[in-house]
Amino acid sequence: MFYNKKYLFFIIAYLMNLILCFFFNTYFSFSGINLNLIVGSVIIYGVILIFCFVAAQILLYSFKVFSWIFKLKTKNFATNFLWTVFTVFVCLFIFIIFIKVTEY
Amino acid sequence: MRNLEKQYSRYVKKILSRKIPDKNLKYSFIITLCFIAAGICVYFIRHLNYSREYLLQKANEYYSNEEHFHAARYFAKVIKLNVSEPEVYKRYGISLLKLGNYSLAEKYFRLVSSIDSYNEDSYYFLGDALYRKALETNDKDTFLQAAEYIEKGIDLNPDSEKLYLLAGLCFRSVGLYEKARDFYNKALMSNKFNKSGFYNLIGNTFDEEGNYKEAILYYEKAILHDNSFVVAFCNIGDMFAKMDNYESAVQNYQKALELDGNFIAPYIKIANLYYDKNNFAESAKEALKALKINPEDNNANYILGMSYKQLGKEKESLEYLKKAAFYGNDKSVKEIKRQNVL
Repeated sequence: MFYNKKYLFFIIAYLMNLILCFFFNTYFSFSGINLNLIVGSVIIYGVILIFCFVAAQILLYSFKVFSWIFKLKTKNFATNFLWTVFTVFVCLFIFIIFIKVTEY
Repeated sequence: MRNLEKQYSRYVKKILSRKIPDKNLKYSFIITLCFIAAGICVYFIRHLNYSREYLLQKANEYYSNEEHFHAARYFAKVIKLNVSEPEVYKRYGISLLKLGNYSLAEKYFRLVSSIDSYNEDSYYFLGDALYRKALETNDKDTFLQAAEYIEKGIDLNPDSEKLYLLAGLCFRSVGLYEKARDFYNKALMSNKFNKSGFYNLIGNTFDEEGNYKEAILYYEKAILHDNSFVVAFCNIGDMFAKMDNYESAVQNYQKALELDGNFIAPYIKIANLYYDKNNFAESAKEALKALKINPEDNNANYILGMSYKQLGKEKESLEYLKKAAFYGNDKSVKEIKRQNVL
C-alpha cells in the first residue's frame, strides 16, 4: 500500500491515530486518565508502528526460513513484501483498537 | 451567477475526468477507504443497539461482578441518556471511587445527596470521596468538608458505625484529636457497636498526640471489654517501647502471642526490640518464628537479613534482604544498594 508514496501512508495513519486517541480518551476518562490529543496520538502511533514493523520483520524472516527449508523459489517474490505487510498490519491494528475502544 | 455555475461544473468535470496515473496509489486509497468505511459501519451498527435498559443491565452486571472500569463506562452512557435515578448516580460514584477518580465521584455523590437528602448513605459516600481526595491532595479544608457531610449522615442515622469511623479518620488526619475522640465516644455511648474497637481507636488518637500513658489506659479499657483483643496488647507493647520500657513491651507482645500464636506482628515487634538493643541472635530467632507463619512477610525478611548482617553471616543476610526487597521492603532495597556500593 502506498508503495510509491510512503509519506502519504504515514500521514493517513497518523490522522487515523488522532481519531483513535479521541476514543481512547473517552474510554479511559472514568479512571481519570486524559491524554493530550497530540501527545497521546504520537505515543499510540509510535507503539503501533514499532509493533507492526517488528511483526512484519518476523513474518518476512519466517517466510524466508520457510522457503529455504522447502527450497522454494523466491526470485519473483515481491520486493515490497515488508512494506505491504507492514502497512496492512498498521491498518488492521488501528482497526482492532478502534473496535475495542468503541465497544458497548 | 451563471458564470459561477459554469465555472463550478467545469471544475467538477475536470476533477472527475482526471485519472490517477499511479495504479498502486489508486488501490491503496481504495483499501484505506474500505478500512475507514468498515470502522464507521461498525461504530454506527453498535449504536443501533443503544437502548437504555440494555446499557443499565450491562452496567449493573459489571457492578455486581466488581468490574468497576466497565461498570463506570456503562453507567456514564446510561447517564448520557438522561437517566437521573439516584441509585444509578450512586453506583456510578462508587465505581469511580474504586477507580480512584475522586473528583468525578464527588460530583455524582453530591447529586445523590441533593436528590436523596434523607439517606445517610449518600452523605457517607460523599464524605468518603472527599476524604480520599483530601488524602491525595493533603488539603485540610477538604478533610473538614468531608467531616461536615459525615456529621450530617450521623444526624440522620446515629446507628451507622462506618460514619463514626470515617468521621474519626477525617479529624485525626487534620490533627483534631479531641474532635475525633468526641465521635468515638458518641459511638461508645450508643452501646450498639464493638466497644473494644472504639476504645482502641481512642487509644490511637492519644498515641498520635504522643500521650502514651493515656493511650495505654484506653487500650486496657479495650482489653477489659474483650480480653481476646490481640491488637490492643500489641498497641500497649508499642506504647511501652516508645517509653523505652522494653521489658513491659515484650511482655505485652508475648501476651498477644499467647492469645493468637499465628499473629505475625508481635514476633516482628519483638525482633525489632531485640535488634534495637543489639541482641541480634534473639532478633534473628524471633524473625525466623515470624517467617514460619508467613515466609513472604517483607518486614520479617528485612529484620532477619539485618540481624544476620550484624552476626557476620553476609551470605544469609543478602539472601533475606533480597527476599524482603522482592516483597516490597524499601529499606532493604537501600541496604542492598549500600552493600553493593561498599
